[in-house]
Amino acid sequence: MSVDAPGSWFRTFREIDDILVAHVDLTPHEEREANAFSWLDEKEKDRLRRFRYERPRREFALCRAALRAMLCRRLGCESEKLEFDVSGHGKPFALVDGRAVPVSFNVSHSGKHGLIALAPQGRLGVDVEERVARIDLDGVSEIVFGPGEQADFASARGREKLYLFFTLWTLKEALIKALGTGFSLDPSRFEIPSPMRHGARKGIFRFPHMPDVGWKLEYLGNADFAAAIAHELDPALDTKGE
Amino acid sequence: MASVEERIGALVEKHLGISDRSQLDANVSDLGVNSIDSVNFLKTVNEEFGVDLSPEQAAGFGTLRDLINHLS
Repeated sequence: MSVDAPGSWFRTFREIDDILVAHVDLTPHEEREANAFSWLDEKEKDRLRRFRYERPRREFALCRAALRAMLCRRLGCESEKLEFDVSGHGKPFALVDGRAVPVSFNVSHSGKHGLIALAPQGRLGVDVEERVARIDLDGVSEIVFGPGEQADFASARGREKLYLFFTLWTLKEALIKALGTGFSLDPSRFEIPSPMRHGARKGIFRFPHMPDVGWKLEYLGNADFAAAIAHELDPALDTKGE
Repeated sequence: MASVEERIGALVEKHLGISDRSQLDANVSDLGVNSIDSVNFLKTVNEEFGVDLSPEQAAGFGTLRDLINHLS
């Protein structure tokens, strides 16, 4: 099983510099799910069984097995040698033969779509969201958007409003995931750079509370879903104000 | 008036699609609720109970029972 292997449920979605982003097809599929389950180690199978519902079980199995395949290919190791642990905020990291390996990855899923991002180094976050209308966009925007973002959102109308909401959400979520803090960082306390709120797909971002660290931010959305990726800039190449 | 548990149970069923009330005691991470649905649910809780819980505060609740106890 490898990226782009015939019949597999994941394939290369984008290659951005040294980052590989794969798309995972999360459509219910008994054979794929059984195949994915066979890739999991005992700790992962226990995790799978703790999920109370079928949907999160399927998401976890298909994404984790795809991640295993991608990491094994990148690291040149057998799946049996690979295991995962989690940081204090729940962000997973990989170990081979019990030792943490120098590779960054992040996983996101929404509805039928999963994305897996892989990079040789630097903190990395990815987010994907199907643009569903069941969310109270106005109510959620008041909780997660900063003042400038709220103003832009309030002036948008109809389909543009739906698209702007999920564009901003995925960009902010990708940054939070890259930082690895979860929602212990209030998402309304930082804002997506104005050009990216008005159509630019790429930009450099700095959190107000850590201005010395730069993040490469890119919107990856298409007609099927909104998506974004955030990757920590190499400090050696990060020239502020560039 | 309905109890806090009944009101939260109704919001959970409506906004998270979880009707089994025994899941109020499950770890939130085991329910497979994604972050956007979590924040949407938080917004409805704030409206229903007239509170102003932040995502940061909500992230500290391990179970929905923790949320019920906080609001009781």
